[in-house]
Amino acid sequence: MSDSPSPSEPRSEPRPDSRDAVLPVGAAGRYPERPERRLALVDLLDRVLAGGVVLRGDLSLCIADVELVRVSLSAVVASVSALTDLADAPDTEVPPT
Amino acid sequence: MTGARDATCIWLYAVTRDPPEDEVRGVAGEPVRAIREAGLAAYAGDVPTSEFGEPAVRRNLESLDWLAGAARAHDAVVRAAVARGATIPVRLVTLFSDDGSVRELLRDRASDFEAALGRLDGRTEWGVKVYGAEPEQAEEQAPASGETASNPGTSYLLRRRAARIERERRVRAATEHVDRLHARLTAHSVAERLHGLGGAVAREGEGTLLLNGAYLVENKRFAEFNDAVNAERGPGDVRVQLTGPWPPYSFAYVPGLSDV
Repeated sequence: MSDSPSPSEPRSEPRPDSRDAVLPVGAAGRYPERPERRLALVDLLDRVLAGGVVLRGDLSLCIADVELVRVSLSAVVASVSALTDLADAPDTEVPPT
Repeated sequence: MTGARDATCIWLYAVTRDPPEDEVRGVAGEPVRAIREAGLAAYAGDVPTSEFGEPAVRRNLESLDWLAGAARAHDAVVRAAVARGATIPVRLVTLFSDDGSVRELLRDRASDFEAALGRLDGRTEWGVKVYGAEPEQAEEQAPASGETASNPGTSYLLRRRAARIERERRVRAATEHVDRLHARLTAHSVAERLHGLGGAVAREGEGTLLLNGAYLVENKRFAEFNDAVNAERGPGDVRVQLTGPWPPYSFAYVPGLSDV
């Protein structure tokens, strides 16, 4: 990991949250021990709730099933929207014509 | 299952080859330990069932604060594993009852995990998001039509038509730009995955999300990937955002185990 990359400045106009989401990698190619990073929460939730390997835990009450996660994610997205006083994000790939 | 108040279950963070070094703390502030089997190490924490087991965890997931805290803590442990070497992140809220069950899983699927780790060695996930203007915004930016009409109704229709044509032109330009960008990024990565455009919230002022891609990039080739991100200046109302490095959440595919 000694050759781990470090990002250079994105071309796009720097924005506080986009810059915060870009984590510097230390000289030894390691992530900071206690990073005071403010990862964009939605990006993180997208990944930890919809990514990662799905293992079926042996607890019958294990809830690592996608359906529940999706339900929760919708709740989260709704919460985030409410918190930031936003309308729902559009579902379409491109703006409707 | 409503036993002693301090009953615990096992929260799994990651599967890797190397046990944690130093002290890593998990979602409950618990010390993370390794459950080792078949040359693999599962990062695990003993967490109180009263908060992280059923039914509490299901309720807790509905709280954004709780979820944000759990997600960040989970991510911190996964990153600690990534710092040690190739790592398969485990999806949030994966619970086991005891070490034996985890060992059994590692033993049964050892070759699958090993193959997945091999794919992730020396590679890092990067995110690229592209935002375009809001449709309404594009409409407002439409140039004033040179055509005039004495009839206000006709004039209105002409303006509407001009706005629609302009909007379609912008959407087409943005879409083509995104297609070329994604093709370049794919060429400079070993795997790519497109995340949903509806799941992530386009925050205020961010505009419409046109691309939400994850790319698995060779660490040695990151400079080229970064160049590919910046290679082309797109339409003025399109913004590109690079995020990462991420643990390989989007590429934690283990055949037969994953649904992603």
